[in-house]
Amino acid sequence: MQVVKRAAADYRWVRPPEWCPGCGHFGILQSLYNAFAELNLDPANVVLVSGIGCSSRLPHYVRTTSVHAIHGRAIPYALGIKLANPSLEVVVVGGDGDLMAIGGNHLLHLGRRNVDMTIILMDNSVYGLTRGQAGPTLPAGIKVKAVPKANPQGEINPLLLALTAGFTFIARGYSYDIKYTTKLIAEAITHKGSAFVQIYSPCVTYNNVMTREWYEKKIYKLEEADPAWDPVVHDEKEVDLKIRKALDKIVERDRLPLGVFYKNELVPTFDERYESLYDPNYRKLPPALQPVEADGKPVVDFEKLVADRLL
Amino acid sequence: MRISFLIGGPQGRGVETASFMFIYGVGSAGYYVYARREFWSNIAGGRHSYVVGTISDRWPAPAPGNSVELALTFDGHAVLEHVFHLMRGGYLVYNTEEDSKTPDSYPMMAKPLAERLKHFAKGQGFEPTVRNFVEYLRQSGVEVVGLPYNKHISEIGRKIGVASPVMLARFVNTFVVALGAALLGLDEEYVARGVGFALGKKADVIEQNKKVAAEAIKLVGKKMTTIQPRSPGVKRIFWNGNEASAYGKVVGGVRLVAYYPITPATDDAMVFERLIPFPVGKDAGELAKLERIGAMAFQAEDELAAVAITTGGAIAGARSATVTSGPGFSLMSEALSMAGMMEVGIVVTLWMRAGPSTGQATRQSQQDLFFSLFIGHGEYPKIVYASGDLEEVFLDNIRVANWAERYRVPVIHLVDKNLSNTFAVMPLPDPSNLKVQTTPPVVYPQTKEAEAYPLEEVVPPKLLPGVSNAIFHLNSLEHDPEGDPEEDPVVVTKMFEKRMQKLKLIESEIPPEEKVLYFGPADARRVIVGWGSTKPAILTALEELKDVGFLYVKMLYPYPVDLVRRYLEGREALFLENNYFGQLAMITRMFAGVVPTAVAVKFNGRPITTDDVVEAYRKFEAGQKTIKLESDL
Repeated sequence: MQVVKRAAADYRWVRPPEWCPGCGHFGILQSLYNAFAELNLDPANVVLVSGIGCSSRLPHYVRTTSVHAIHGRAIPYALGIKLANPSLEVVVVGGDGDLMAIGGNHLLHLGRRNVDMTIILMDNSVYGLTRGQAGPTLPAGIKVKAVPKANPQGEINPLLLALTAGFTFIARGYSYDIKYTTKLIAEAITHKGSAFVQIYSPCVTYNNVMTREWYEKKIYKLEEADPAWDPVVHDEKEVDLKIRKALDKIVERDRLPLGVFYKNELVPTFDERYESLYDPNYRKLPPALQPVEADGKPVVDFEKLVADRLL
Repeated sequence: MRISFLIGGPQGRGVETASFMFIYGVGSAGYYVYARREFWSNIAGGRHSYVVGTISDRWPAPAPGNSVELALTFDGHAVLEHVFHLMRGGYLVYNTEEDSKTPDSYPMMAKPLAERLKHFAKGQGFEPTVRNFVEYLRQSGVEVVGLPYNKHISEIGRKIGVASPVMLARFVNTFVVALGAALLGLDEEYVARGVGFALGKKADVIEQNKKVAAEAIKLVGKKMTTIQPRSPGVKRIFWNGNEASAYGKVVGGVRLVAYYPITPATDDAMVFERLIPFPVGKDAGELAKLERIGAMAFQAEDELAAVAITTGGAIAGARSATVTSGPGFSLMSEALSMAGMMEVGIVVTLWMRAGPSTGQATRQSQQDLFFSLFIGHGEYPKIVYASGDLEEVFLDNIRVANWAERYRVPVIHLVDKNLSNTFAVMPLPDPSNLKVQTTPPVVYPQTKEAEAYPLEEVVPPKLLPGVSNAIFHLNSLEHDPEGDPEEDPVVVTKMFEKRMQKLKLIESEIPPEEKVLYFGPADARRVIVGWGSTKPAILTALEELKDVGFLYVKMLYPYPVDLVRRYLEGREALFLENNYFGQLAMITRMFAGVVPTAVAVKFNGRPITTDDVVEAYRKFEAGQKTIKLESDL
């Protein structure tokens, strides 16, 4: 079979993005094109899933199969696709409102399952599409321009939550640093297990506080600050240590570290667990790829199925 | 031949096990059994629960009425619960060690019932003890078999060498069931078969219980009948409604079930899960070389996720279903609208229970017909289909899985608590008359962008990620044929009409006999109209009522307007429903313009019985327009 080498432009859909000029999301979109090209993913084997919001429009600008679902539920739709056909490359994109507020419960539960898929949080701390309300990652005391007063609610630290939930790959990027974000996304996709990438993506229209300038004063790269930084769990005995090290960095507030905080591929993935417990052929013959009838007859032997109930 | 029975006692202490022993034991003598379980929304705690049913030599066995011929009770509480559920000439088996107890001795008895019993005893001029109520029953023509259970069980234990109180307590089920078997003229062999089914096949356990049964049978001097062991000549199955549903899913090709635990739906998913991996048949085509094939059963974090995972599974190409009840179904509303918009076929098996809100989790109702019809914002095509007995539950699961794939719409399969907890020994249904119909996916020779929603096709092509070599966009937003957001009014109109044309397609393709069934004389002037699990009770009552028709509606949406009009034209129609509003009557008026003559409803959390049907019909004949049914068995 001929090996096709795809370029970033091969993942661009015919329609142009409809975001505000200067929106951080452009950087994430470009990084995604780049990462797909770097991994040479078959666009007919990738399913990009999103919920609702500015960020959730992203799949429409990408030349892969996609599902633009409803608010907050991108993760369970993606999960259903992945469970039915684990050979698909499933990637979820969404904003902080979609993934951390209305969809927070699903994020929490994906981590503990360690299903082999990637979640990309496009974090701008505001609800753009409904015109600027406070997002769940907006710190208390910050007043963004569309709302009358400073935020009375505190913020969620997405990486802290992801670590607690059991994600086995945890990273943070910054949308204007496309090269670095590309690297993180590619690494997240190739990671074996549930991967979570938070990408700061300033909203130029509604978040007049957490701007490009604001972020660029605070961000730094973990491996640049500490050349010995190694987030990878190489041995099961290291898990606690690596979690503590990641935590140290995740809770930093005055400065905002970027990079890979934690990576553990020693945890069995969901499909490995399911295969060993329920169905030895799960990955070879997953639910989506099984014939269920032959000439209209069910493939399952009904009388054998109910054998213990027959009189 | 029919014998109605009930087995009652404190919940969580073996009543269910004893019922399985009894039903299987009688079944193993060659009879059919139709029974249902009534219980509180607790696991143990000692609330009263019971199984009520009918034994018959023909199928369908008659559905139970408001009283029984044989009551096997575990304690005095059970006697008090069922004082008014025994027929004249019927038999009561009870524990005389509880003779001196009163309603106040049983803290788990519902207070209103305790008050009603005390009030009744006072009116009759006796103290409200178990002994006095039994005496009242005796005087009302009920035969009584009263025995000191524990004394006898201890004696039996001595005979067979068991002294441990824990072990002896385990014999109570067998003991009570054996007393029932004795009254029916069945010997210990049949009790032992029931024990083998209910407690496992361990030979020593069965042998020991067989001895207990033999001793217990000797204690009963009376016989209500002698049912001869017989050979029914057909393969039979012992199952309940949840199980029938799960088997239907497996046979119908469902390979992904996502759910969140909720009564009375959970067992549907759990049985599906327990059956993985499934045995492959000889005619399985390319799969025939495998012995077993797998499937995905997935417990989600909530019903929002369960329905989304189900939809995702269908997008990937698996036949997918979720199972739930009212509270969970409420959470699925937005996702059903999306399945309609995105054109993804999924099945929701909706096990209705008594609402509103948490309501009565383990009790019966048909309150969610409106909700099923109108669930989800906006306008979109869907199918709402109801089953009325266990055979239908099984076969309809195959149908709805076919339809979800054929029409790419959400299909709501309405079943209820009554069906979930109906236990039957019945002929094994034959699924071979029903085809499992699938659509092959489109596969392009080379990767290409494909329209997910071509305008010229009412049902979109089956494009599967990773299979079709297609790049396509699915969208919950209004979209163009490519699946990208579009709000151009001309395109919106076309896409809307394209989706809605599915309703016409569904109406034209599904045969009339799968939408409504008519029973009884073709020229009956009066017709009972019903849907769902009231079917067996109505059919049983029809034997008594003669000259009455029964219009049984299975397809609730799209509503079979022409068929319903044809059957009801020029006739008087009594709508009979397990809800408050008379919801079928209302939607019939709305869709078909047919005005019901009378509506009979029951909303006390209990199913409509055969006696209820007769009562409703008599009142209808007498000209009553609204009828409330209140029987409590």
